Amino acid sequence: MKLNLKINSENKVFDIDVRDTLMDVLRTNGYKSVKHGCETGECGACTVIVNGLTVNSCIYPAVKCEDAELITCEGLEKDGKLSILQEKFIEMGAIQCGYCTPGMLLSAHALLMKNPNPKLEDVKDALSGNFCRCTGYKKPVDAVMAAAKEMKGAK
Amino acid sequence: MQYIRDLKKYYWPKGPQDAVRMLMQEPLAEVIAGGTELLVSGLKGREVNNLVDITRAGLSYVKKDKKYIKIGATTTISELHNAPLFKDFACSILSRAAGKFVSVQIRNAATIGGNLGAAMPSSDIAPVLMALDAKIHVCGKENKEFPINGFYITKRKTVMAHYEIITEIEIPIPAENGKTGYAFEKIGRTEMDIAVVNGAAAITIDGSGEVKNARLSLGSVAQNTIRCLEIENNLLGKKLTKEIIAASCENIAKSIDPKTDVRASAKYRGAVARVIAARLIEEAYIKAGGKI
Repeated sequence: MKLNLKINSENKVFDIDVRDTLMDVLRTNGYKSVKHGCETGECGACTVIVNGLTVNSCIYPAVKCEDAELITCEGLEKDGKLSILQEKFIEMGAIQCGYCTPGMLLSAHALLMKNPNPKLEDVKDALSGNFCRCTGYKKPVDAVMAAAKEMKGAK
Repeated sequence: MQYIRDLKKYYWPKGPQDAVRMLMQEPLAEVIAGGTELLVSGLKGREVNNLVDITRAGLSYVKKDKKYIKIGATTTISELHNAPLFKDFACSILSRAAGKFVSVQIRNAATIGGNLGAAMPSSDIAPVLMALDAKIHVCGKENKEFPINGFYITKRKTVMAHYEIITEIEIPIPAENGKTGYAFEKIGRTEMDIAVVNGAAAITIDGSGEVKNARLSLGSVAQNTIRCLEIENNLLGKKLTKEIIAASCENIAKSIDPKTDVRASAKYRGAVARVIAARLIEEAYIKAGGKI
């Protein structure tokens, strides 16, 4: 069956099986930032933004995305330039192995789209569904707070 | 990864009757909303050839009239958490329980009806709805309604037939006579984990501080979420003190039937249940305006 959707502002048509998860459809079509983790909606490595809201794509039937607008980590950079959020993750050492990073970036991006002035608790809550098994959570949380501050200054 | 190996067709009913018709017609059909329970552990090896997705069946809404708040079954946990209506209603226990619900990603997909229909004893939503004395509206061959206390038969089993679906949750708005206070509590191993013990309470008092009505519910301490009727009865007609509350909860072991699993032992759950019950009663009583 065909699946029509928009990913990172580009219209796409994919040939899918009704049984495919959104994670599989994205990864097999080149969106490798979407990571295959726990397959049970716990670790958040497969996080994508669907119509403005983050979901765990490993437990999300792809058929639910007909006519939806998606953002993956590939969509955060513009014209080869990383977003402020991405720059802050690098600058503040919020990355170690990097496997959880795309999911964390998208959870943070979804938060900042809705709430440009997040409190510390808001950021912690927004990242609570993204597990990191190496560096921990302080640096990612700091990076999101720093990005929010800088984005506000840029406006 | 194919989320259901035997799946052949995926249906999008336009309304609840449409969904029921599909579920009755198609053998091996299952209803799906957010899918966060069904796709992870809800199938338990059953063969499913057809999924009936009710998230476009017009069941996503929160409405309020003079007597009731009505929540459509496919309203997501995020929508409950963010709805301004629930920030001000019943000491915000529904909003707070929704905010404690796993992670943002799960809250964005999971629905209130799905959470109740999945009938897991660890639900954070069910104890709150019991404290709020909610009714569950179900569509099948005919429309039915069930008080939430009595909706569950056991773990993963409700009074609904296979082809029936939850359409709406109805919460009565308490009358003004007497003041009612509410409390919600969840104890989990981590912020994201499901509850080891959770619960909610609603206590109504009169002008003198006497308890006129009490509802206390606990989760994860029995085959499904329970009302603690004996403890509720112990409170009626009394002005509460810490001692009276402690004495009321003394025999809680008779009301609960906790199990041991990877998260906690039955013994620990029993001990925590007594503490949580007392804490919920005290908080709800104080919120109602009672002095302890």
